[in-house]
Amino acid sequence: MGDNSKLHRGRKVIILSRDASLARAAQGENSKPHYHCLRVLNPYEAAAELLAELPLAMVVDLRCLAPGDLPLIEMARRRSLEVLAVGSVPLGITTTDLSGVRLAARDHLSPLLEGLAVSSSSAGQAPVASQAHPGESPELSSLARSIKKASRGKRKAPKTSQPAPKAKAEDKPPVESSDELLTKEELAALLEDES
Amino acid sequence: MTAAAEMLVLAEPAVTNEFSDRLGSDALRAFDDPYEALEAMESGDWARIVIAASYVGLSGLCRAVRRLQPNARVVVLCGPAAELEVRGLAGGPATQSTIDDYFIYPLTNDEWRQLTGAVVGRR
Repeated sequence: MGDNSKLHRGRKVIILSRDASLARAAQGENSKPHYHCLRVLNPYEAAAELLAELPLAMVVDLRCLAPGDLPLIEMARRRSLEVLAVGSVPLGITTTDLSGVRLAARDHLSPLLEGLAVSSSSAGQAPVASQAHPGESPELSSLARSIKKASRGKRKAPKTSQPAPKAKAEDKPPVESSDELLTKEELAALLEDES
Repeated sequence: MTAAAEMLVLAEPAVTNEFSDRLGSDALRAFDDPYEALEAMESGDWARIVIAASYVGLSGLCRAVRRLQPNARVVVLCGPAAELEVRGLAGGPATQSTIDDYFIYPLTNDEWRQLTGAVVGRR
């Protein structure tokens, strides 16, 4: 099932993708990898590999994921498995469905996995889920933080398009930025008009 | 796993109900969700696994089942329209097969006997 990378060293990383180049990107250029990539083409196969032997991590090409495959993510979550996702969230799946999954750029996969492998081997246990930060590599933490920030921003996005409530404007002095609806001067002028 | 529940059936409820009616619910474990079925395969060896061909990604599902249950007899139930795809999974003398056999659904009485004979015989 699937195709293995040539070097079978270290722990297994499941790559769920129809794109062979993703597995190569995940393997990276490192001559002494602490993990080996096993690419599978289908979410069921990824589940079977996950169940057969707990891998170091799973990389999911989001193009391979349909709403019906969310149990795979849940399965990984229950086993505290690190899941890295590449691509954009497909139709029918929300960011909430993918909570705990880290979005990663293709180029960052190799260093992320290497960091996981090193921290896993130094801790002498399986990597922990993203909720638990000890043992995480610094770059992984910073990436996770940036993704969390981004997703928080996305969730809040609809609210910013609403007119700012008056009470809120009074609570917090408005800061001039391109995101603000009104500048300080405009807001002051508006309040003067109302009084 | 008890000897009685040696058959795992992964199919829509209408089909699994038919299996339960014929074999008795104790003789099999029925699943509608492939992921639940795969998790059930993690914990023990199954003698027979029956999969309905109606699932999207059937070939991947069959490979996943084979990965977890290399010694099971894996059988697919399919409609006439899906026979060509399923026959490919059964392979031939020169190719490695993912499944052991397939049956066109609905089954004849004789096919039911072939499929479930060993299970019925042990009851």
